[in-house]
Amino acid sequence: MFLTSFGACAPPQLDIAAAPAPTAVLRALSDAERPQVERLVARLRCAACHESASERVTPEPAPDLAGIGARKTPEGLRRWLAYPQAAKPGTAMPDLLAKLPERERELALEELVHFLAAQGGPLALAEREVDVAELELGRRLYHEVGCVACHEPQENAADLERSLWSFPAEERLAPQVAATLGSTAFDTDVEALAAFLHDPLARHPSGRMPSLLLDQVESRAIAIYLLRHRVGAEGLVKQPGWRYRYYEGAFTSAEPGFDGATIVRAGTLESLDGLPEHRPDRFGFDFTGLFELEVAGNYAFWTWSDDGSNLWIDGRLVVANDGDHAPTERRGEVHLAAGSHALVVAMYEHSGGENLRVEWQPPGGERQPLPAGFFAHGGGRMLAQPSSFALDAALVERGRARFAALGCNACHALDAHQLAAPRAMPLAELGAWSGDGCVGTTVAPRGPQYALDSEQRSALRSLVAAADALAQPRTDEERLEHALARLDCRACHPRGGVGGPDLERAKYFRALAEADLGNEGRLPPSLDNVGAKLHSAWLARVLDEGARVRPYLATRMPVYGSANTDSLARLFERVDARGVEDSVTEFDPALVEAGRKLAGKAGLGCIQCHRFNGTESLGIPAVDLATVSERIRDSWFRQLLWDPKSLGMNTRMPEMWQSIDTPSGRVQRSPAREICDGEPARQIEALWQYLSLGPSMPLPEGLVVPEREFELVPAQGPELCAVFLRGHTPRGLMVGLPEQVHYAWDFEHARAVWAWRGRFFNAGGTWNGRAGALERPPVEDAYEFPSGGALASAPDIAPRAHGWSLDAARRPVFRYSLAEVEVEETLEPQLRRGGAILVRKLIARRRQSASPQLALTLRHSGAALEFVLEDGAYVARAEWEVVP
Amino acid sequence: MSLTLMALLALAQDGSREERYYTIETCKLPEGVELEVGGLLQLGDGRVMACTRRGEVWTIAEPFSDAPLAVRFAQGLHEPLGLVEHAGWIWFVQRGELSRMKDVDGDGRADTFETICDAWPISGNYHEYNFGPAVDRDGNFWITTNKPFGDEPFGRAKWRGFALRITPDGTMTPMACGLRSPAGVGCSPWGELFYTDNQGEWCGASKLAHIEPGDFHGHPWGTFACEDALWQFTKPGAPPDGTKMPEVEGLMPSFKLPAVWFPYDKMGRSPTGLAWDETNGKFGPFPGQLFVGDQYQSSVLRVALEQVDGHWQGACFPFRLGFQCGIIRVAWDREGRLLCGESDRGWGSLGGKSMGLQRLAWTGEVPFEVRELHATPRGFELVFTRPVDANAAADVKSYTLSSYTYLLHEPYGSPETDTAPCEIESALVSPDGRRVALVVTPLRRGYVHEFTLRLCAADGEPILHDRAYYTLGRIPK
Repeated sequence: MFLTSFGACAPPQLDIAAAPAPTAVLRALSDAERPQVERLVARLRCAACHESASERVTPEPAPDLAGIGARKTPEGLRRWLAYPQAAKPGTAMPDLLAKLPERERELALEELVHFLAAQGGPLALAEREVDVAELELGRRLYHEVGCVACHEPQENAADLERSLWSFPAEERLAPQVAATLGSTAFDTDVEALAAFLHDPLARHPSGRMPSLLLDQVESRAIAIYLLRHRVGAEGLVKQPGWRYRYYEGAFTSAEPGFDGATIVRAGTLESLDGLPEHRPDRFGFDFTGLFELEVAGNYAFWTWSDDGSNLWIDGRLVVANDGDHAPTERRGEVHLAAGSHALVVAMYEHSGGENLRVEWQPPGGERQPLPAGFFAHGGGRMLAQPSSFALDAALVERGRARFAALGCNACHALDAHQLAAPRAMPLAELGAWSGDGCVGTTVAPRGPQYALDSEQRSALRSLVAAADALAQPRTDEERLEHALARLDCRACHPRGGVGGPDLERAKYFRALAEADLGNEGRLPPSLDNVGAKLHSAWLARVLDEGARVRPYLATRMPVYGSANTDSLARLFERVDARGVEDSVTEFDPALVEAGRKLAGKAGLGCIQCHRFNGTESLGIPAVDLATVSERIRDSWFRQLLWDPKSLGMNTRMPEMWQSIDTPSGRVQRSPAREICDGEPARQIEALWQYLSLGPSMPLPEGLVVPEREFELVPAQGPELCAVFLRGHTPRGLMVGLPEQVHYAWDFEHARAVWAWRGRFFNAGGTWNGRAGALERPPVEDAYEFPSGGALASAPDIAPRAHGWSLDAARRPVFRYSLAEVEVEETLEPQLRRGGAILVRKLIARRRQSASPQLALTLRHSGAALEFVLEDGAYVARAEWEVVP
Repeated sequence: MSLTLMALLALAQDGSREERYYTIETCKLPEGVELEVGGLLQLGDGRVMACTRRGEVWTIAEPFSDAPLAVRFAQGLHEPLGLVEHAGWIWFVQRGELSRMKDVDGDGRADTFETICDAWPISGNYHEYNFGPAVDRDGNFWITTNKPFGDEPFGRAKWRGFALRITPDGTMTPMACGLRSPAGVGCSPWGELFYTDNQGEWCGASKLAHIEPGDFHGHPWGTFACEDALWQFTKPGAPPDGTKMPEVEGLMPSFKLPAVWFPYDKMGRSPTGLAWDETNGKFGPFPGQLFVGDQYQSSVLRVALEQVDGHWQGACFPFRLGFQCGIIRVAWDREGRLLCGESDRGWGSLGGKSMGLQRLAWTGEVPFEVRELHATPRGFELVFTRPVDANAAADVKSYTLSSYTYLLHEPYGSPETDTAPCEIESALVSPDGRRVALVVTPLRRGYVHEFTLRLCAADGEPILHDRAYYTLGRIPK
């Protein structure tokens, strides 16, 4: 891999006066070398100056410098520009000043520093309080979410089991292992670094630094941890009790820091019972307490609050009790290792009464208030760093001109400078050119200076010289390999026998829960044949939208930006699934029940290991099977079920079937003899049909569904619950159907609002305490109906509600009218592959005598509603499908 | 007072003396029935129907047997707080509408729900409860509406704190305003509408008030809606903050003094449902009187009304403590027993249970009580259920009487204000021992007159409840 790494920590000894070295020898690149050299050219962005039509050398987008002055200190900018390789060894950024005469070089450096600092800056490092809970969170996250797949760990894996307090004072803030993130990574402040970590793709569009889906709190915590060297001489100080911070404002959500709100007051509490002094309404608190556990296990927590509250342990949301509501209790459970943990509770009050009570239940213990004297808090102070830098307008102006003159805008658009068109000799012509240029050993009078060794130079020249090969379009395999290498997928995932973290680095890959899943529970999955296993649409969701199915992995699959991954899913499919025929079977609702039985205790017992639609398995937390139909390809599923070991993916899934000797020879039989006659093929088919219901699957028998107070479960028939619908109407009705597809109806506007699958609804917000919560579906991705009712009228008039009746299945039939037109509307469930859908049915009646005053159209299609005379009345019917 | 008597009175606080005359039975709710009662209805076939704050409607057969049978008649109603049967339908009010339902297919469960009137907006505030309906003699439906507390996420809604009259075809007319938390509304046997209200801001103490067209009952929050053309009366001005209630009558012509104040804590805290005794004696010696539930004290109060100078007024008496939970609704069963539907959710109550259904039945034994308390031009007349010990009753020292009023003001509740003792000038016992006429000075118009009685029946039994509170809205001429 030497060809793709370049640069060194120390500036190379370039002797300007030295005699020219012999011109590098051109040679034929091996098949193994060529892609690496192509990647090098892409990374060095050669084609930004040397035009090329070859996709093999398309330059990667360079970092976006807009606002760079607000993110880097002037000192950091200076250090960076003076010699990028020293500031960040391995950077693709060349030294653009190297070839200037010494006097001018210093002038140019200063001009550029002022120009860049003027982009939103200059940044001065201010004083900042640091809470040890944030530090611990950042420390944990940095080492487990995936940073260390590419970056150097800051501490030994074994040390991470210990809390910062267990180290001697002088070691708490010192990295145990030298950091090699590049020194300029630290020439910034917490907020700027946090903003970068929260959304790195906004600044680094190349995707080389992907987004780890860190929220604001997590990003800030990692930033604080990485910048911990700035904590002053007295270091971290620990104090007994809780630390609280008090904020004022019209908050709508309980979160630590309240999105940067001003801290009105901060203080210490001995125990967390009752709220410190506050004004009557519109305020918020966050509370932080550190605690040490002797016993690992599952700990339950409760908050009871008015209005919203949330509780996090080590930065993970454990109790979600957010939103405006009367005193409401919510519970959460988390597995905690022995050792140090940080508990954070945030609550806010909008108006009316306010309360907060927090309780817990340790493993084997009773539910109880949080013990007094058990919690501590602590922190330190990042000191301000005085800077003598002051922007000089004249230098800024000259820097602006210099930026273009030096060719910075070949890669970076900034300020008035658009991205410049390539203006050096085209790449294709370079092969015939005998000069030395920017990759030469002799120094050209102008242009960038790259830190390359002689072998790299030789390889580059050889690549460019073979213009024909360069002009060849890439094959799918080449494209895929290029993407895998460019995004460094193999840092985490093995594919083709290569990749995955090495033994030392693998120690940082953890399982979040105490899941007996072995390496499958902590290491990212192999990408072998992934294109044959997964639907490309699902892969695209994984790559572009952050869809995930392994909640037990602490390491997060990052998001690289759809510009960087948009063809990847299809490439996997084309390369891996070439020649794979998916047998397309019709969806057969009749097999669903057999499949459900097979998944349950009386069947093959899938529930022993697999989760089902959010309900925990009886054993290990293996992948939720409600995701199967969206993710897994038909052929792969059948092969997996038939012979799990045959797929070579090292799965712990056992083979289901027993070999039986019969007069006609040896056959495979299922242990579940009563279902589908015990025939494996038919059982696989039944399971496939059942799982294809996805999130609207009825649960298998034998699963233990946790009892939630106020949980409404439509089992024998529909469940109806009247509520205030958040953001839509106070006259709402939640309708839950046993087919596991549900919807919310708005009586005021005579319209369906949301549809969703899976869990129906928990009425606690409406049925608990004085209640009156504004409710919404319990899932994040509920389908939202287009605004307005099913019918659009011209002129636009408001519908009038007339009530509802129940049909034979006790599903509501809503009745409303638009002027003289009386409408009956139902939403009926229908089982489908991928999940039950709703069929929206509508009957409109107009009395014969009434002349049509309204033009009615179906809102979803725009089609006019056609009335026909039927038994003395004009009747129109419409029916269409809604896929939640 | 003898020690025995004091001990007996102390016991009476938990209802144990009352038990001898009125017993409480408890419905053993079947598993899975969460009966947070919002409305109660005795059905003609003996079943009891209850709607709940969770929006369910249950019919319960044999509710006080060992194994009541409950069927869910309906669900998905929006916090219904009342049920009536009328013209072949079950009528109820939800947060957003007056509705009716019916079991058309006869399977024991409602299948048709009709919106009668949804002409009032709601803001999505939890406190926007609607109570009722009560049906008047013309077949109109009356509901009372709570004012919101705190946020109104869908905007400020009109017609909060009103008594609304709705015709069977759904036409709504706001009839009275200034209500606060009017948790019970009922039509009297003589056809006039009354409601109960809960102490709070602009409502010095809990009360029972008569509803007449155009009345303003003291709370200004909702009166902005009186600008609307639907309000056919004068819009009340701003109430004179900090004024004694009787004086407000003179300052605001539309201000309605309540018929009866329920002094705070002495007569419960949160009056709710009400029922006139039309049992023809099945419920004991108080025919025609009014019984009111209390949601905090888990009790039933008794009210005796009379009309003086065109104004309804009267006295309230403690009646029965010791229910398992705060009472929201009361209704008569077919045997003249008082069904009490309960829920303490959101406010808490005495009794220890959070919901349920109980029944109060007369044992057949007549307690010694003040049955009626009448205002007279110079004092009061007490009417007893049984002959009184004439010696004690003729002694003016057997009575302690004081009077006080409340302030109409914004703070929550009012202290008893301008309290002064009354002198009993004479006590004249009727020859049959059932009546005592008291001459009292001073009589103060509009004031609550609080009685403490140290009396026994002629047979020596101490009076069951030694307190009574008469709100003297008018002094008879």
